[in-house]
Amino acid sequence: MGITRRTHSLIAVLKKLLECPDGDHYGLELAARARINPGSVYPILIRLESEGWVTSHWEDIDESAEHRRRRKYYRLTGLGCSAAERELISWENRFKQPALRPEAAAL
Amino acid sequence: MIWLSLVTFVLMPLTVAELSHCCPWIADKLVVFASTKVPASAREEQLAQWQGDIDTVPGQLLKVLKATSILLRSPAAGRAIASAIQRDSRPVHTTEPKPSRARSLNSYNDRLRLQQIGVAIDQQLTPLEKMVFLAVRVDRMSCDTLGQQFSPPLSAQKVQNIVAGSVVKIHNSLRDLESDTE
Repeated sequence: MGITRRTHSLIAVLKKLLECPDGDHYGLELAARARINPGSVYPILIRLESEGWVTSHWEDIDESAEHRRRRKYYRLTGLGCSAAERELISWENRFKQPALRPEAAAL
Repeated sequence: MIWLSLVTFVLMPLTVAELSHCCPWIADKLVVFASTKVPASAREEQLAQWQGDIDTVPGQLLKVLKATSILLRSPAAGRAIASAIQRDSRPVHTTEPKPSRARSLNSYNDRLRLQQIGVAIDQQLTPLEKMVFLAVRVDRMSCDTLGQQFSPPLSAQKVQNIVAGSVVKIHNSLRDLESDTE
């Protein structure tokens, strides 16, 4: 897997994406919800897209009517959903000492 | 005193109002400068993305602050894009799938009779090594499966390393026991 640097920002973004896996999110919105540096979210989204964890599409609006330029939205893929869940579990367990599961110890 | 009043009540508010009107323009310029850190092939698209996001930011000064943050992190964005472009252009090599490296512990069981020598070497093993042998019992089990008995799960490689290290300790202890009894 290409995402070898696991940072707090990456994990925060993955958490927010997983909260609404079917929804579309744009960069600054994710940064605000994940409470990370606004500039940090774009390298993360680029890496996630290159790994196939998210897909992107441009907003279909009339820029003159909306008085703003169109946004690029990101959505979690199926692969990204399962991979993000694994990453979150791995992140939460990274400092835990291994112990036998109760069902294995009971037998 | 008059000059102070003039500055405080006339010039400063005018300056602040002027600057706040300029903030969207400043934010746009910052973002354009940030896009120069991105590879040329992706520059236009990335700039459009950043401009579209900045347009949604409420207020004036906040646009400048967000644009500054984007500018400060733009080298990282440029590197991420360059890495993605390089990966896309690399030819894809397919390889034959490697056989699983998980091994059964049965061979160790046959040679060493782990349960019967448990007491003699108990002091040699670390708590984790003891847990590994407790989990395997007399079952034939792959290292993958054995690793799944733990929370958080242990990788197959880690289980192999633990078993290999433990086997060496057990073997050495047996040899010492045999030499003591002779």
